[in-house]
Amino acid sequence: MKTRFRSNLVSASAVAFALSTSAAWARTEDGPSPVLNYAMQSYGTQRYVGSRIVAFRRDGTDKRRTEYVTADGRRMRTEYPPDSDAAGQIVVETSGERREFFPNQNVIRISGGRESELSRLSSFLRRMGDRVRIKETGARSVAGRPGREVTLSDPDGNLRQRLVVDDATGLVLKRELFDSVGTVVARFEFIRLEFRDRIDPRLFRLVRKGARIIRPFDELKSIIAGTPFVLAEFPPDSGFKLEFSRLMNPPEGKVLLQLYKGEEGRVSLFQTLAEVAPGQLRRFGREEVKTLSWRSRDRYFALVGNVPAATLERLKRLIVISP
Amino acid sequence: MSHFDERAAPSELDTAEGLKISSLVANLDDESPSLAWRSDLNETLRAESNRLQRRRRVVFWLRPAMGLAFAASLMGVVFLRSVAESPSSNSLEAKLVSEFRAVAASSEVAGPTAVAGVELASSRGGSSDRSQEDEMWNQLVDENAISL
Repeated sequence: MKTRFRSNLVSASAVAFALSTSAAWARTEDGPSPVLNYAMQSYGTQRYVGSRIVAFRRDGTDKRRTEYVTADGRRMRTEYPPDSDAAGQIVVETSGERREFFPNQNVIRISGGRESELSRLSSFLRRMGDRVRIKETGARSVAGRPGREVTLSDPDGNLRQRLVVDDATGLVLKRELFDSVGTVVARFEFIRLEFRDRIDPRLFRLVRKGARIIRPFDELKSIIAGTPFVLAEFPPDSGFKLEFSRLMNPPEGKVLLQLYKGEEGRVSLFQTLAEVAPGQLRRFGREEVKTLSWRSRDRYFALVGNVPAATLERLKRLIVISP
Repeated sequence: MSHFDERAAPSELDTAEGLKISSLVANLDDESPSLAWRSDLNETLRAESNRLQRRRRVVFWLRPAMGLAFAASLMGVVFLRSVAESPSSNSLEAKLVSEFRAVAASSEVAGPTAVAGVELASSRGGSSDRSQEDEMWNQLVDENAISL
């Protein structure tokens, strides 16, 4: 009882502190958005155990998973129920790296660490300024917890993102991302959530003797073997880390996609066999997505990202191409 | 004194040659143009006037027509260019941008391997001897954990 009282007191103080110091850049039409600023400032401060539904659209089909998550600040452990297509996988994310264990192949995949998705959102909001309309649309309850809903729309009023922020802790309880025609392309929602005072730190270690370690760069090398594509990458000091690579097969010919993640946002490096028209690419990118394309060594390259145009120019200069 | 000084002219006309030319001009017959010649001249002038009128009429219509044709061809070029450059949702460029939007949004929420659809992400089926052995170990752990 005493612990719960102390916990509530801490939460209430956190809310008061966050509201009093909320930055003025996450603004609604009527002024700053205290709820969104509170969520951003509280990111990585919560300890909890819970279940959440994660869903996204991929290649025209909806994919849905249940995740069991345990989080302590910026560290998170994710497991999957026995009937999931990811059953047996364990994901441990820290600020330094993300480790995924795949039991069937006895493989641990190591990639870039967990960064605040909300810090990327905040840099996006700073960049877009008044071109993002933020609205606080009232109280919403998620997983039995009272929260507040915030929506982000483009200047034409198209809904692009919806979040529900926990009143007591600032945790994002639900998040939905919409495409340009209003379809939900990715979302998560907690269905069970319990805040804790302490989480066993051993849960955030993922070590297995005998497991093969692979990294996204190893996958890239294996993907391009036997294809006409060259090994192109951003150097480690570029600030962007490779998340994954995949081959696409549109009628125009094979396309290699490499997705990178950085504090500023995400960037895709494409290699294509068919010509990419810079003007058309730009038109599709519109405001929030910047593009850059060029030709080199009989191949066409394109950078597409939700980062400033200057960042794409910088990344283009930094690309290292191995024959 | 200038070579073309006006004061020099009368003295030059007073030369023998100048006087000879002057008397030849004075003795010329005063011929009045014949009617036939005048008629020919009138015909020629009328014909020339008709030709000029026709030309003026042609120019009157041709000039705006040429302007119109130029404007039309300019519009045609602009239109064709815009058609050639108009973003088709089925073009390669559209696919690249839409693929980026899809993977960036999904990766943000579900993590990269779930989105990439890499073979590793499928933990079910095709299990190796190693994983079967691992499964047996896990069962042993579970059974013992229950009895704890």
